[in-house]
Amino acid sequence: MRGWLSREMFDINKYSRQHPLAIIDGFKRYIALLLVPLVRSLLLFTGDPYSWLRGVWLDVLVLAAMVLAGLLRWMYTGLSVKSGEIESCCGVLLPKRRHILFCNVSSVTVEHTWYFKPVKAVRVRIETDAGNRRAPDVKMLLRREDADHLCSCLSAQLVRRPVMVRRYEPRGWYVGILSLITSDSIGGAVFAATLISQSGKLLGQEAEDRLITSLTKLMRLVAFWLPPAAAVIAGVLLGGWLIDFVLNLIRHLGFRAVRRGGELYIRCGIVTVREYLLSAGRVNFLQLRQSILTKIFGYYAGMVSCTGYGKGKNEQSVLLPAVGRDDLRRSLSLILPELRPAPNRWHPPLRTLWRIIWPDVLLNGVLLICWRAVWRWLPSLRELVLFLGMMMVLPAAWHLLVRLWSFFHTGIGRRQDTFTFRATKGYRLFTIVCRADKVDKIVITRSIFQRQGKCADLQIWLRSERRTRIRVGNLSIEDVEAFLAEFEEACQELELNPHIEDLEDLS
Amino acid sequence: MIVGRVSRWVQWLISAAVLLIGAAAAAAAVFFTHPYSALRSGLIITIIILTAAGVVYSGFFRRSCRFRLTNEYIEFQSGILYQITRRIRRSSIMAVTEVRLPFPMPGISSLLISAMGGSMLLPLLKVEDVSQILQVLLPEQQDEGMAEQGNV
Repeated sequence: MRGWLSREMFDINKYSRQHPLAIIDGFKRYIALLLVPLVRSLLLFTGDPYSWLRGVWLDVLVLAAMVLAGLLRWMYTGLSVKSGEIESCCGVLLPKRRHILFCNVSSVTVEHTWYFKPVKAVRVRIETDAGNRRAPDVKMLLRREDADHLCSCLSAQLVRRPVMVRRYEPRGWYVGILSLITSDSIGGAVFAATLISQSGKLLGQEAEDRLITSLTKLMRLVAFWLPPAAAVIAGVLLGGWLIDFVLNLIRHLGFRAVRRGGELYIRCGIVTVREYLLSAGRVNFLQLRQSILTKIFGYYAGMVSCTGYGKGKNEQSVLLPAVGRDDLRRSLSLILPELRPAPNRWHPPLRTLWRIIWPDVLLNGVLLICWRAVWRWLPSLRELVLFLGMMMVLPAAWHLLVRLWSFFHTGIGRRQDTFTFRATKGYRLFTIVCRADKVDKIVITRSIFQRQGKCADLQIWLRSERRTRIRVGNLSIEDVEAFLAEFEEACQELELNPHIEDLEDLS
Repeated sequence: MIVGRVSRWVQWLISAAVLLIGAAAAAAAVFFTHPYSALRSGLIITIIILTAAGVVYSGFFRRSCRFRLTNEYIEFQSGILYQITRRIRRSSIMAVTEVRLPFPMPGISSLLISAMGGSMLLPLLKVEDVSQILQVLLPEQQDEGMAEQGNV
């Protein structure tokens, strides 16, 4: 009779267990909150163990329960790499055994966290196109040799015959440009706030108050002619941006991408090194990002969409940190020749220019008039009005410039079975290159004014974990129909001639 | 093509739940109504009839839950009054997870099929059916030596 704990289901000897540190890895964020008071009480130990235990018995009990739960979980979790498939088992009360074929794996991430390096433990995440958007399909803390074995088995599946290895390594300052483009104040401010509050929890309220007072004094020193409130806001924004910039820089230094047949290997980071093994055939699309500044200087930041890549906390799916126009063509032909941008074949006609820019023109006009009016009517607050007016008008004027530029940027191009979509969102210019079969849905929308102007907006929904949508606006109806006809033709061609993964087969 | 039904445990579990609810309702009827009253008799008779209907329904429901595995797709159908059929193309299947329940159920396992458009649960199947499905969905281990070498 097969029972619940039958040997067939739970023969854990068939599987390789996680690294022993996985026992405490599951609750490490709480362990500091338990251990620090325990250690503090040990330092104040007076010599009577009974009275000491009476004070800390609950902490000790909770810690012991956590360690026991971690141990049980570790005992019943394992990974087995067979030829053709990966098998993972986990669960104590609800045992689960997951089978994933190598051909279905989209990406494998191996994270060498700095504090695990001495004990040779790495975090491994295995992803497929199915499963939960927020969590990886398989996530374990393995020994380094086990992770290396997993990666070599996957490589053997993706690189079926000897091929030339193509390597791309950007210059150091390109990574700096990427950090400039992608850093934002909110991320850095959240990081700083978390650091301060967690420090307070660990070191005590006094330490937190002292830290905040020091920051406030620093803010006062730095603020020269700004009003105090504005200085605090500026300090938070600038400080947050700076922190995020430094974190991004550390995260992406040492970036390199290597293409071998159907395998795309990416490595980045200097403190915590992250290695990604992607299946090139499962790359959904390539996304090139620019702001107005980088557009002027001719730089792109290239991101790639592949399930699992860039999914972790604070991770980005970078393929080309920053690259100039000429370098872009060369770099893409090295590591991702299947997805090269094509020039615009269909773009908005001149008659739609006013439709694109009139909301921003109106907004700028209204802001300038209001600014002028308030400047006149409130002479006692001129300094504040000047500051606030600049803060409102500058972003609006910048957005108008972006919208004007977007008219020349927006459009659709085609190269064989891949399409290039260009659009803007917010302050950024996007170029997305994908194969026709990676487009999930196309929606055509027309307002009443667009009907009169004989144009329409195209919304293209792309296949990815996060359901990416790009809106190419104000194309003429003839261009939309021509695009749809060519799109259908490309899809039919792809059905007849499935995608070729090996680099050497590409003409 | 492989066809099969969920195990009898589905019927037993639903019946047990129905009986439990019926017993609780009957106890409440006895507790809150006057002895020898018509209301009590009526309630108890109604509860007995509904409980019996529930037990019978569980049998039919179990018979309605079936799966089918072909070369193109895997399908699971369930429901009598409101029937739902889910079908996933085999080419879209990314991972297959075998799940056991927290309380002992000899010879029973569930399968979770993860595909690009979503997941599908095949609950409470016999272990023989589960092995058959896995054999078809997963590649054969042609070389035992390679399989041994592949194990970490």
